[in-house]
Amino acid sequence: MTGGEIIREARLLAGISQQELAARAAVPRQSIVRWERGAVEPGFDTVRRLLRSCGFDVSLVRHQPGEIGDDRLSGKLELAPQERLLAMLGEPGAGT
Amino acid sequence: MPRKPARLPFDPYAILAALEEQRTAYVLIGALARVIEASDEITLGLDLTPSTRPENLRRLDLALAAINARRPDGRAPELEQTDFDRGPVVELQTDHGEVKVVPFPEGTRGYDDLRRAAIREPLGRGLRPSVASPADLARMLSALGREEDIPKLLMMRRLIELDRSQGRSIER
Repeated sequence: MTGGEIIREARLLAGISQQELAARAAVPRQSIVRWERGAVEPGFDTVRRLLRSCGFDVSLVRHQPGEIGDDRLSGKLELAPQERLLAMLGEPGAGT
Repeated sequence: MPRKPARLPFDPYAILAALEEQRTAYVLIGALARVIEASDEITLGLDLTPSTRPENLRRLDLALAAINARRPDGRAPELEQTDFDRGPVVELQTDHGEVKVVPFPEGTRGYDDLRRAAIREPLGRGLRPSVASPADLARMLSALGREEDIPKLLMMRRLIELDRSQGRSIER
C-alpha cells in the first residue's frame, strides 16, 4: 500500500471527509486529495500524523511474504472470476 | 449419541440465480467475494450487502423465500420488517447454503458506499453479480479488527500489490 492509500483507508474507517481530516491535521484539503490520489507520496511523519488524526496509530505485524504464497496468488490472478469460484467449489470441504 | 445435523451443500449459483430472478440490488462481500477476487480461501456461505430501500428488501424477501431461507429460530427472514439499526447482521440457512445479510458492513456506509467501486463479475450461467472491490474487501477486514482476519487482510493487500505489479488493476 502507498502512504496515500493508508491515509484514505484510515479516513474511511474513521468515517470522516477529506475536509474534516484537513481540519483535524491542520493541512490543506488539496494536500490530502493529492496524497490519496497518489499524485504526491507523503512522508512517513505525515502518514503517521494523519493516521493519528483519524484515531489510529502505526504498529508492526510480523509476516513472511512466502507465507501468503505469491506463486499461488499469482496463479489465482491469472484465472477468470468464474474459474476462481469453480476452483474453490472443487476444493475438498467446499461447495456442491 | 446425538448426531450433528449434516451441513447443507453450498451452491452459490442457485442463491445468485434466486437474487437475479427478483432483480435484487446488492453487493457481494465477505469470503465469497474475496474468492472471486482471487483470494485463496474456502467458504460455505454467501454474504451480501443489499440496498435497504423498501422495494429492494421486498424483492430480497421474495428471492430468499424461493430458496427457503430461515433464521436460526426457524422464522422467515422478513427483511422488509427488520430494523437494521437493532440487528446489523441477519444470518440465514437456505436450501443452498448459508446466507448472511449485512446491510452496513464494518468500515462502510453500506450499499451506496460499496456499489461505487463494485464490479459486475461474470461467473457463468448468465450471472454477473456486483462484487465489492478488493480495496473495499480489505477495508472491511481491517475495520473488523479481528486477529484471525489478519492473514486474510494481508492476502488481500498482497493480491492488490501483485495485480498492480502485473499491470492489471483489480483494485477499484
